[in-house]
Amino acid sequence: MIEFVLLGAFGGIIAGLIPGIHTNLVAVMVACAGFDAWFSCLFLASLASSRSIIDAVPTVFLGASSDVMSLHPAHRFLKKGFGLVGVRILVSGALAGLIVSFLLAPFLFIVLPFLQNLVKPVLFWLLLGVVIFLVLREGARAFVVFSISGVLGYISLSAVTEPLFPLLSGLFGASGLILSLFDGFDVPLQKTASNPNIPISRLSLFAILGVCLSGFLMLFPGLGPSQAASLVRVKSKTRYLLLTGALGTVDVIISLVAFVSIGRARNGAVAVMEQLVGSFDISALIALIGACCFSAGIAGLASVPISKWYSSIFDFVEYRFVALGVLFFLCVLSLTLSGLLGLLIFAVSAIVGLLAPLLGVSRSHAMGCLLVPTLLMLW
Amino acid sequence: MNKTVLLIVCLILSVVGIVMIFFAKPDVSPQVLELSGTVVEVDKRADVTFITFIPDDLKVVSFGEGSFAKGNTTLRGRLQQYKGRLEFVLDD
Repeated sequence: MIEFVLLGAFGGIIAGLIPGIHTNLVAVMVACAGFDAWFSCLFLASLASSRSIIDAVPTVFLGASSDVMSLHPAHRFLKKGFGLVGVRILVSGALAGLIVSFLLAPFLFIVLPFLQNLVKPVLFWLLLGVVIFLVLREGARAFVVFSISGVLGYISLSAVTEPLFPLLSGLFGASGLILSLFDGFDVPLQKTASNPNIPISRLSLFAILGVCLSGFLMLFPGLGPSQAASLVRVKSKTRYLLLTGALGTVDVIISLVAFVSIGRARNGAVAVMEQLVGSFDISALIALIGACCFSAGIAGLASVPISKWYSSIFDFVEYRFVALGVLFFLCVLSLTLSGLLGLLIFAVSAIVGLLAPLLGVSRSHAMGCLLVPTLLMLW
Repeated sequence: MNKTVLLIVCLILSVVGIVMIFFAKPDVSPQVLELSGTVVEVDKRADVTFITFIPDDLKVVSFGEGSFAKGNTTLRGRLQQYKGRLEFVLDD
């Protein structure tokens, strides 16, 4: 049994380092592979956890741009030569998020059904309210990004068999890479000193905030970690990275808790687990959370040498070649998974994805691609 | 979080994870099962077909419109409880 957890941890590390290989994509492959159902679930839980931690590395080192307006806070560290510090902050946030969500899991298990019953009758209006709040905060330009992404999502979701891959990797992955190619961004030499001094109290605070936000958004279909980070205004880039790091791992743990507690499969990996075993008892939930903890430990340990290795790639290879390679890989994957129409969706999504940084608003508004169809479905 | 703290946190998480996996005794059954054996009797009623299948001592039920011949075969379906009894319901 432990070998599947170990395999999941290493699978998550590899998937996390390759842009575009999302947990949901691996989950679909696992569902088709026909392995033992329970071992597949352990593998997926472990993979999701380690991937959410190692994801810090490409988040910092890929998709950066010279344009200050479109810079992700992680890329600001990279531009100053402190990319390794950025990775360490994200990983610290992710581990803190995992520990806090692990400790709060019993509480969430009890509370989520009550919240679900409370929210259910007014789900549409609450979701609409959250969306309006998020969009209005950044004004008319955010509304433009949100509505165009929404129309694109509405059309794409019923157009091909695997629409999410070309849609999301186009909107969030390819657009950043294209922007960095056009403005001739190159990764500066990275400093090796990488010990950010973050007090435990601050780590805990942002981990708890991550659990609260993720637990709240768990009740709303279509809203994920990126919207959770947008709900609160965090101006300091270190704090923002702590929060986004925490949200990734918290989402994995809370998704498992929510599935057993309220029977809702929040993400693709849990949906595949549901398809494989139907339902879990508490013991299964404990084992799955255990797999997440084990895998997070492995990924956390691996993050230090891996981030140094990843950073050293740019000493030998020009950033634009890496970006072009990743773009080519995403194109091939879109074509393989969703056919020619998928490739078209990928291309259009990449162009739409450019709107947010060009208009100077948060990329998370492009999640309109899922939120608009969800709102229409709930209507 | 400096390197030593990171190392300690990661090691603790790994050990806690292993202990949890080791001691948890999940009662999980696969959603879809395949049973190989012999169909010895087929009782077709209005919308449902009851199949006697050996060597598994399970009530096999089909709500689909397929026809079942006696003899060796592999059946694909899921386990469900009906009135306190475990049934093997075939996938369509």
